[in-house]
Amino acid sequence: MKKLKSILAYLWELIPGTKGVLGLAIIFCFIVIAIFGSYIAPYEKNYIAFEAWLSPSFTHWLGTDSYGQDILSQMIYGTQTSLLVAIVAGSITTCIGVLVGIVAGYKGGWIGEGLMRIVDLFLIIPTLALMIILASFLPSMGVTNTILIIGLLSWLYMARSIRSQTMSERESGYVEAARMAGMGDLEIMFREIMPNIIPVILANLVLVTTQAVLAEAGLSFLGLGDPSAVSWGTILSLAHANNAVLFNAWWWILPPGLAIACLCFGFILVGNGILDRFQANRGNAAL
Amino acid sequence: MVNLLEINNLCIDYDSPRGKVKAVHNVSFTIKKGEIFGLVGESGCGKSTTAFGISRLLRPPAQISAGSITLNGQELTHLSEAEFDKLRWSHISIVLQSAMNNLNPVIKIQEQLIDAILAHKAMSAEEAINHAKYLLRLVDINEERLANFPHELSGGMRQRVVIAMALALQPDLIIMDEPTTALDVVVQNGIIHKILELQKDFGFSILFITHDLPLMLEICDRIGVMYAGELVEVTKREDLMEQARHPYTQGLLESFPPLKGEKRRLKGISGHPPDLVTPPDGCSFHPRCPYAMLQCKQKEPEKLHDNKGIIACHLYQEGGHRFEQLQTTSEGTK
Amino acid sequence: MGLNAGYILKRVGFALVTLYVAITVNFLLPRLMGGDIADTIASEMALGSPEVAAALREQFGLDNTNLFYQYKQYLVQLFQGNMGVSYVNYPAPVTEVMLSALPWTLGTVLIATILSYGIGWMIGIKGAWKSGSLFDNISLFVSFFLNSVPYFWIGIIMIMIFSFHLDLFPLGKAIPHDFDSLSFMGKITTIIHHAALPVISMIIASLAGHILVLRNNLIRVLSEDYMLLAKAKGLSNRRRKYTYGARNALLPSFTGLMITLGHVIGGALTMEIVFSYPGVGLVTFNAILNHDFPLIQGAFLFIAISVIIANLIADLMYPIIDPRVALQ
Repeated sequence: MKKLKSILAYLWELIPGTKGVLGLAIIFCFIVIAIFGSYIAPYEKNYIAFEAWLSPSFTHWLGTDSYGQDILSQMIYGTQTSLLVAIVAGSITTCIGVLVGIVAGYKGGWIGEGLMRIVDLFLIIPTLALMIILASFLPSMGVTNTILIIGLLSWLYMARSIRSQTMSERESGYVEAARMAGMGDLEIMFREIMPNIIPVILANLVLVTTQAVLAEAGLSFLGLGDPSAVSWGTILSLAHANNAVLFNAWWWILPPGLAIACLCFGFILVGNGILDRFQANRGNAAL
Repeated sequence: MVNLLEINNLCIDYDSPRGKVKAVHNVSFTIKKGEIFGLVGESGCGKSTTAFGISRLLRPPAQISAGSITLNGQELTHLSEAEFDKLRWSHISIVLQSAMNNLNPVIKIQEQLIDAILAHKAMSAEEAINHAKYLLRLVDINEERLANFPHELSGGMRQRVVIAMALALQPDLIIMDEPTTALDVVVQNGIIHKILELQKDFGFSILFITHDLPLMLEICDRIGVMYAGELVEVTKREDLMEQARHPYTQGLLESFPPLKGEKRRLKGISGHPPDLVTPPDGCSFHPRCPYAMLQCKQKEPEKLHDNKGIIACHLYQEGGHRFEQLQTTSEGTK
Repeated sequence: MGLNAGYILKRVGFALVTLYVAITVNFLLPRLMGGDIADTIASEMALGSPEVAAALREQFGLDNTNLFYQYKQYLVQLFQGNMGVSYVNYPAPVTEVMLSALPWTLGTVLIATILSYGIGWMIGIKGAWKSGSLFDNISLFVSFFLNSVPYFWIGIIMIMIFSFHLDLFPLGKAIPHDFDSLSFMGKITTIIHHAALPVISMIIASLAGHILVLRNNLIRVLSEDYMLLAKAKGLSNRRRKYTYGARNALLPSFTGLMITLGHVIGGALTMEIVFSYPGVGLVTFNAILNHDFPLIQGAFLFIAISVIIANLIADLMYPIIDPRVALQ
């Protein structure tokens, strides 16, 4: 318990300034909505017996769609899926990215060089194209598959960033000392180096999480999402497929896009705050 | 000799999250025409900041908060940005610390040499190029190098190019901030000799900044010692070689091997330079000073001017242990 | 700064290896997913003609279960430009469908990328030069926001405002129905009129990345000694900002530009769906909806090849802009 408290205190140290706090507040709001979604949502999930194309009113704050579903309720249930995909896929990406990055950066030699060459190769091929070909050949698309596809294909850029950070850490005194003390490579990599690059890892985690949100939306929009699940991406995809623009149903188009934007904005603010705080080298990262 | 540069009570501060940092505090000295004046001290003592203050290159939030700087009798601190730009390079030029980063890596040597000239003088491109060739010859570099990019030159050559560039408009004062630190010893010697040779030919003054006191003793006419943003001693080279007066200067001298004479054990100065946000009361050197007395902790020592220079230490104030030493030397020369 | 043969060879070699990897991924992935590969490439049902299906199966070595034989046949067919037959566009071969879609995508993506890069460059530099200023903070926050928004959503919003409400641009498509009857100038005007909104949307969507990268780069460059020296030399603001600073800030972002190009193409795929723009994205979308597997594979390969070539061009241009690279 005490340890947990000190970890929490450390994390709080990492998140600095107004920007970071604002970002955290945004993310926190979405998490609350996701957790208590079924209590907050005014109507049941996928209930389709309302009148179609209703504009916003007191009974339907965000109106209804062409199927007669309450959009606010759909949005709230969609938060669960979108957040789940973002966090789980983001975590998978981070694990692989950190693993590959630290090993490639610490080991150097043919292992490090080889790993990075492979990363460079795949970095050129657009990730979305890879996701499309993987997703379309899968027998079925569920939320799990979406998470796996996004999580397994997005770590390349992150691995590069972690690698360069590890390479500069490798030269510092404490690593040398650990080596002298007879620590094994694994221990040095994950006990000594990793804790020292936590800010960079966190900033990257935040960035890949936003990318996961956007990738989920993109895949859903392309018709590669889980057709039975509700997410912000599928809501937008349905809106477009049912010509919401031509019905001037802005209440069907604006909320999902704004929700995606707000969540990602929150994550980016937190990441930017962490980088500001540690004056970390941004490389070419757009943060 | 006439004074070229006069600095009076210069203060440079900047705001940090922890409070106001007094990077340079009440610094006064003069540089005469044709003189090489050295500023020495540990890193962070304010010597480079002083130089940047003179050449108006301070990066915000650092700024001059008080004091005056006059060059040829003209007050510089009151000048507008545009007026100061006219003085840049034609009156004050600068050679910066690391040889590698003085030159823009993606612009050819020629362009970097002549843009300084063209920014201040009406000259045809052809004349400017000829002048650039002449400048390279001055520092013994083949004029074909004009067509090269900086990375195609060795470190020593690059620094000579920068020195040639500093001479482009025959300025009155060249500020050299550790111009040879990044170079190896042999190259360093060559460059120092080149600088001395050029200085003799052209007669400009140099403000030479380094932490390398022995090097300074070799080349400078007068030397100023800075500690924690303050100028604690100014002395002629000969006097300093004979006897350093301020305990800090003595400590600095003892941390380098002597130029001549027998070898001895090197001694550093124990402790660390003080925090410039909350400097110690009294003399800022007192926590590290082997001679520290009660008054050193209470009262800031005055800066005493005598014929040897400036000394700010309680040992030499009225009533101090070495006050008499100061008296006799002053009287002896009067 | 003569172009160094070793460098060119290395870059071309890297492009070829990447291409090979992309081709192999395209061969392996569908097989790894465990579907009936013979059916995905030569489905009798989809093609509606058993003879065509049988011929395709033979061409691609699908009558043989040996994976290496299939791989060999696949490569042979690919080199002849044969990627199979599209179900949806039967009997049109995949290559033909893709080749007619590619120019629309490349045209809009390239124009959008160049413009977005230029605009992002100007804004990023203006912000970095006076970092901490109001302009800088606003551009920073707007960039963060734009980076958080899906491409296609920006497209939908643009259509809603400029096509539906203001009626300034067509609702979609690349050319009108009566295209063939138009004069030459009329054709060009209408193409630009149709492409304008998708291109503007892509610029807005990709702008933020460029702004942020260039801003960060310039801030780093501004702390270099040569920038201080340039100031000491009394060079004009303009010269320091552009010749000394902006150019150096641009260089490291140039390789990044190519990674963004991959992003932009990814974004363009969804953008085309929004605008019913007949490029690779729309073709892919229709292929996905109709389970037209040969076409999906073809689309992947065409996207990969385009990006690899664009990358190679950028790599080969790089030494011309940055003299340091040629020597390494």
